[in-house]
Amino acid sequence: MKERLYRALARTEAPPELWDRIEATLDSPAGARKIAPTRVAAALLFTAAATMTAYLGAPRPPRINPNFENAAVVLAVHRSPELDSSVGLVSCKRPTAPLRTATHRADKRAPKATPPRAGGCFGCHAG
Amino acid sequence: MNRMLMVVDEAARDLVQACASGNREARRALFETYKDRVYSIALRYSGEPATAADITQDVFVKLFGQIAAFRGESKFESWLYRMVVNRCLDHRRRFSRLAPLAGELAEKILPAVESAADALEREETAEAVQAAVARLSDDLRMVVVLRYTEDLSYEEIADVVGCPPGTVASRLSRAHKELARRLARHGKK
Repeated sequence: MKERLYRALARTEAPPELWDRIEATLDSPAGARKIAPTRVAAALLFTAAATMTAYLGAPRPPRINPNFENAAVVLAVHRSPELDSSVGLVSCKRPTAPLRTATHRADKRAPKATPPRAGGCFGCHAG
Repeated sequence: MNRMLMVVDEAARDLVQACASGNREARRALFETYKDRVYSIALRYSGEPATAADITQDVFVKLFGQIAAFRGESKFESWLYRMVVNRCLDHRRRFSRLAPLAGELAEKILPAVESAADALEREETAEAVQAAVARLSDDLRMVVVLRYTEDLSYEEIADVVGCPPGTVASRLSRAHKELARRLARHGKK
């Protein structure tokens, strides 16, 4: 058992691009950090899933919602369309107050699942 | 042997002092010296290369920010290992909220990706052991990783994790039993 554990858990080499990420984070302004391209893609995916869940009015959507790093990535990509998931970027580490407020308001505004009105055309105010 | 250890300690101390004064080359040298240790612990604990890279990055950024506070009262390695362990636990707490969704997603994707041949190959390989280790509870897993990835003694693990050596021994013993049971069950399938 012990030999198998030593073999299976042996030390491995760290990826070579890690130093670039660390250096970029050390050089960036306080509160910012360089994140991996995979994290950018994951942030976009999670935030898209959260938005869709909220939009579709699921009863308890926000378990994926309050990740501010994800929200910061989405904002950064939205504001600078030249950034995409192939480029690691410097994201906001801590939530800013406006971002926190916006996320909170979005939670409150998320539509509740309600059945269509009887006898009326769903989505048409003329009923 | 002791003299050799003293030389290694002195070299590490010089490097730490140079880093504390903001020397870029010293920082790079310190990173090159310890990156594989930090990354390996994070990888064996988290089981995910991307998460391990994030943890390694955070550890070194924090390390360079706090290195001036290192007074040399304990070994530098112990100080670093403690930082890695804390970061691993923080990361787990912080992202546990996302785990259900990630788990659901992985369940849907993985069966399609993993072929029967891959599953066969997994048997009795390192991956099977790693998968069994990944299912251990947090405290057992960390002790196993420090013991078998870094080959730390019970006393060193106790210093890093912050518990008595006797607790380390009992956690390792429980982990061995649990792993043996899981791997035996895996072998029978």
